[in-house]
Amino acid sequence: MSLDRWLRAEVLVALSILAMQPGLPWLPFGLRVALAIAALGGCVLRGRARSAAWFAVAGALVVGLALAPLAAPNHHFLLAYAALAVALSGLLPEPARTHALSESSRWLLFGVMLFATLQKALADPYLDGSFFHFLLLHGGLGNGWIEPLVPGLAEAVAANTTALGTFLATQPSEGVATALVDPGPRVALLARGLAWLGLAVEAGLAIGLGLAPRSTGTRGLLLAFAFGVFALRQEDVFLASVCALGAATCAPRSPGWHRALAASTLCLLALGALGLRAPA
Amino acid sequence: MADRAAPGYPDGMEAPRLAKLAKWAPPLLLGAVASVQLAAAQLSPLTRWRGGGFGMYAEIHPDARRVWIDARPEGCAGEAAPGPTPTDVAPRLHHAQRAASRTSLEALARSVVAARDLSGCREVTGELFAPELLREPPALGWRSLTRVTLAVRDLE
Repeated sequence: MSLDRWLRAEVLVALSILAMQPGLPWLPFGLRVALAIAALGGCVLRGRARSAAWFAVAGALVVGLALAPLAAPNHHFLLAYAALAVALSGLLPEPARTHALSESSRWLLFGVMLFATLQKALADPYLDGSFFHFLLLHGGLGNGWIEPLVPGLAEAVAANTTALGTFLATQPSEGVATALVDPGPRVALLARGLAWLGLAVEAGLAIGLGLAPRSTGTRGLLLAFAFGVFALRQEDVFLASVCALGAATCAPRSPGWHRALAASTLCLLALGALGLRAPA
Repeated sequence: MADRAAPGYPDGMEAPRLAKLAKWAPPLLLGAVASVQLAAAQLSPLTRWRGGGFGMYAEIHPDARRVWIDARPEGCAGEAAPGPTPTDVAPRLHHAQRAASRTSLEALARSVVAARDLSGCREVTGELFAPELLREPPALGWRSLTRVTLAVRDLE
């Protein structure tokens, strides 16, 4: 059995869905079990049974999301759409199936990047850097890598962690606030730089996926985005989903990129499963 | 002219139509849901982190929003200490964190009161949210027996 058979888009999507199982408390238990069984079936079954399994996966996720739309993180929505794309394309004979899944995946990724860009462009706390500033001082944005680069940041994060613990454990009074220790303007500058870099990368991906989805630049940027974000935050399942859909856009004309993105999907899922995530 | 019942296609399905459906239905569904979520996040206190709008990392995570709910009989002078969120209140709490509004806050307050014995001066704290609430400080009235106030603290 060839390696490529196990790097098919539907296998990668199924693995991503199985990897998100620990993050599914919003989904009723019965649907979680059905989802896991159907995702496994979508990998190993053939013909109409496989298609039925993928419709079951998509159905379980869509029903669950409809029941609790504010409980699920955004990448669960993305995997629901990906499952629907796999299910619908499974009704087609080859090569229409591969082509439809490739195009559907491309536009799904385009939609993700477009809306991620719009949301950030419309959010003042993002544009002025205050959100990333808060994360850096609070210890939630790849601080394991960044703290050694910014003098005083590690001490500030430690002091803020202690102060926050004390603050939250005491009797609250209306209007009382606590300020975070800030080691200087470098952190605010770094936060603003990271914010605008993130915006530029996501906008670049949206443009690339819309206009030149098969270019080396777009695919390279997608890979850089996946591992760059992974170095900052524990987002292995979302990033694996992005890589899985990216791999789907490569089939069948770019086998090299397909393997690179498929391998990245498996790598991110394995790192997440092993707990080897960005040091906070 | 489209081919009807082409080899490999379901009976009666025009092949190009099915191919178009497979190609466009998932992205269009994404676009529809995300557009609604984006509009709601702009026009209401709905968090960008939830609801399918792909606005994660655009603002503070809803779980970092905190409010203490202090529910006790009127006239009780005792201090309420922070305590764990009652299990049966958690769904209301999570909803109010993600869609901060007076309605969701009132629903949360009712669930806190319903879940607790307020006959003494004990209780009640639940942790909640929300920078958005600072725009309109909540001061919820509750039955004459019970006064529910929300003390909002935020990291500045």
